[in-house]
Amino acid sequence: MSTTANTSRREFLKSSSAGSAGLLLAFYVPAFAAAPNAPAQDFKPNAYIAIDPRGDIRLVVTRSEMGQGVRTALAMILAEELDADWSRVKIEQGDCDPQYGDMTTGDSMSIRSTWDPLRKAGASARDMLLTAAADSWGVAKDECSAAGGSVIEHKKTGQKITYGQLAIKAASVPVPKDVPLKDPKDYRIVGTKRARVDGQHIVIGEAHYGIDTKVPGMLYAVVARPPVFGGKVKKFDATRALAVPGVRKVFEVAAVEMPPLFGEERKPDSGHQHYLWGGVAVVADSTWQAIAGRRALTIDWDNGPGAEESTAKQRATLTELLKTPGKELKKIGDPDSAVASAAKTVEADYETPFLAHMTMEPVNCTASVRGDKCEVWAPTQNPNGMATALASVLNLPQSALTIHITLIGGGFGRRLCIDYGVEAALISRSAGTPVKVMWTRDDDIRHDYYRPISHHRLRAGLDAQGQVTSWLHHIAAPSTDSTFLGGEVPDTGGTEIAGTGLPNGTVPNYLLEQSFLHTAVPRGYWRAVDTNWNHFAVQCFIDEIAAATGKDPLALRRQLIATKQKPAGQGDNEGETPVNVDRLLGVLNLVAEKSDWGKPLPAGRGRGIAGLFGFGSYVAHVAEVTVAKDGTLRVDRVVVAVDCGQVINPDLVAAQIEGGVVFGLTSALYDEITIQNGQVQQSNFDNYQMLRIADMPKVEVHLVPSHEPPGGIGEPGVPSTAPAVANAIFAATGKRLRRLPFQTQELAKS
Amino acid sequence: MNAISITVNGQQHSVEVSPDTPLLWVLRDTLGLTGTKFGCGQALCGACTVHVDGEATRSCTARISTVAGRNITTIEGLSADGQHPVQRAWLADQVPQCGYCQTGMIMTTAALLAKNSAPTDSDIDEALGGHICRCGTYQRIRQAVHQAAAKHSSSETSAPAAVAAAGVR
Repeated sequence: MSTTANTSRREFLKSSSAGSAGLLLAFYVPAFAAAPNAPAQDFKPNAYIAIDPRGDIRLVVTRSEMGQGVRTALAMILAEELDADWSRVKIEQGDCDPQYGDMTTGDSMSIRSTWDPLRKAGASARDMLLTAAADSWGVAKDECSAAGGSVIEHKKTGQKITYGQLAIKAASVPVPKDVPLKDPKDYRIVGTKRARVDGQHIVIGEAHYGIDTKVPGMLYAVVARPPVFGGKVKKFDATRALAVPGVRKVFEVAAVEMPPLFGEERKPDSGHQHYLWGGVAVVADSTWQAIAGRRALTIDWDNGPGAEESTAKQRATLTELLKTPGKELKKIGDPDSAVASAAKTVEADYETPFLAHMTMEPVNCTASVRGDKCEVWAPTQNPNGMATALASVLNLPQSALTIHITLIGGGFGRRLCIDYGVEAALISRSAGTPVKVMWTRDDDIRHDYYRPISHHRLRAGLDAQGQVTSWLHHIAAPSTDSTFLGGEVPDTGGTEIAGTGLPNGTVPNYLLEQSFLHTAVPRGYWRAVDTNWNHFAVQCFIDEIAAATGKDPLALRRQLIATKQKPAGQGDNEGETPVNVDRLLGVLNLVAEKSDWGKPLPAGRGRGIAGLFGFGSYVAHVAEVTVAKDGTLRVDRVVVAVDCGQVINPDLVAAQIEGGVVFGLTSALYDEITIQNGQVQQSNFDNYQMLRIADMPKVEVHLVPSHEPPGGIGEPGVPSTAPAVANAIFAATGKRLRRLPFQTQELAKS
Repeated sequence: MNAISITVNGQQHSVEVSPDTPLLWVLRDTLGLTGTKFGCGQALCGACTVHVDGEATRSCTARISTVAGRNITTIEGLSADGQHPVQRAWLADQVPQCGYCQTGMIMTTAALLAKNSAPTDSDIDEALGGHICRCGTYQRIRQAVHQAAAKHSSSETSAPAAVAAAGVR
């Protein structure tokens, strides 16, 4: 997505008449998920930078910070083209405001959507400052240059002047058109390691997350939500709860219908499942009193049909679904005949479970609804979606809403959902006071929007020479989007086949089909989303073919990539974005070199490889594992090669990859949300484990130098982790683990 | 409810809360010291770690009645100027991602280094094994603990870690 070459957006910058405030530039940043057919519109600025007479440079950040370093990275992009003094760049978190357009933070899009407009804004501001300086000195503009550090110099006379001194004059300079951007070889800030702008506040405990919100007159609330998905309150007795000291009010919260998350159209009878949980709210003077009050509640629940569900039944249904043809999503050639007439076939089934997000900051939200105004302090990745939902549920115009976007203690997609904001607003309205609604850890894990369970059947046909001539992939899973939109979406592919990837376009006969599991368990977007489960199956299966044909797994990947006949769609998040085979080969070769691929390891140890194109980036992992005789698995080392185009801050990229590996490992080694009688059985970190420090492998990140446009980096470190480890386990033991989390008891030697 | 007297960061407070109230919620809701974080409520994640008489303690399961009269230190009181060697090492290695768990990690590390000025990797695993970082910053945490230990034991006063200028909470 790009802002260039669009006549309606040509004049993408406007200068303010801010007068004594200095230079204020407004510019346009395109949306998170650009509607491809959106009509051309007049220029509407949605981002701002300001340079004041003291020399402070201020950028309003219109994305959410949740640890990915977006506040730092966006400021760096601006500062680079502006040739600013980095130490004077301040950022300010923008509230949710229609003037900023789509503020969603997701899909690893923040850098991708701001790279061009921020650079252009910075370059234009620098050009205006140059004009102002030349004018002040009465010299030709082309004799002046930005010296870095917010200073303009005139070398002939040795004069220097600061941006602060020029700010007011520059504000009256007409906004230039088509200012050239820097040659990357001249970068001074972009591409360098810079400390996080918010690091100091974090280490002294003064970073304010959503949970730290305190507003005058605020009370604290917890909610008893239905234990079964889709359940409702039949009746409740609040007598004992109201007797708990500090408990002020106890009331029912309705399970109201909520709109889709991202402004999509939804048919009234779509069969969506996007309702607030409902339940019974306990409002008290403190969090602990509210928790004590909830414990004293007696609630009779109507569990509804969801109570029939269990993980065992879901797995049995998914197994059955794979036995009959699914909905055909992509077909090339004649895959069925090709596999039937193949000299050799390889077949394998894979399985991944429901997963919870488990952000360290549990879900929470503070709201104040008074009269016809609603103010919310939300740790949200999706302020626009929350605004839409609040307006709809409270029956208020969006102009009556104020949504403050707080620092977020971990997002990972959980905070794209808007349930907790709607819930807090309804509770505040009923309570008649500002309320912070706190979710305990068991609330958080039992009322999540889960990464969906999935089963996969992979089949490949090989010719007599061992070449892959057909590839058939059948996915059986509940749809994520249908939670919010209804129907068996996607009807024709779309967002839930990302990661089915490479074989599409590399083999003459290809089939991708999908079957849908209907379930009351709500599904949501979990870091790297569908790429995780589809990529796990695909990358493991490539290894299985390699083993069946006696090929090296890396060599087979190289061969498949090399036979890529045309830039067909990858089925990744960019829809039909063609894969660049050279860049994919590049990261595979780099990771092989850095990981000592092919070098023998002692018995019981092995290496596994997986490579991804996704979110605009190319990432390859090699995992190195040790498997003890009793089956104990240890991941010793993970080497990752990354080509994400132009790197803004290599330290932030490395951090995201290190974290992505841990996220992937945690899911591969430990986690599974299981359902019994329609209820989530897990409750906290004791029965839903996280990787801890003692099990942290050595992670080495290697970046490919590049000046291609930046790719995403928040998610692409995750998906290859699990298959790389599965493939390493096979290399170490000769045993295939095809189900996540790994059932390592199967590795014990009898 | 009777008033309970506690000492936090050297300051005495008299709080009127039920004696079974966890220290965590007294710090956060009553005293407004929100640097101590709620993560699990069952001493499983370490986000709520404070010092009680110098010992790293999970405030989410420490009843207020059990800490009355004892010296409690929170992240806000770890250093006067935010320049404790552990805090400096955390910045120098750019440990935090979302940062939510890090104040607990820092408190446990500071308590560890007070007793063991040169912890081995297994000492670190043992001390921080009860902590969870969902962002996955463990590699940098280990590095920062070693770095803080080196500074701590040599008592050297090096230049403050580079702190970026922009300040947003």
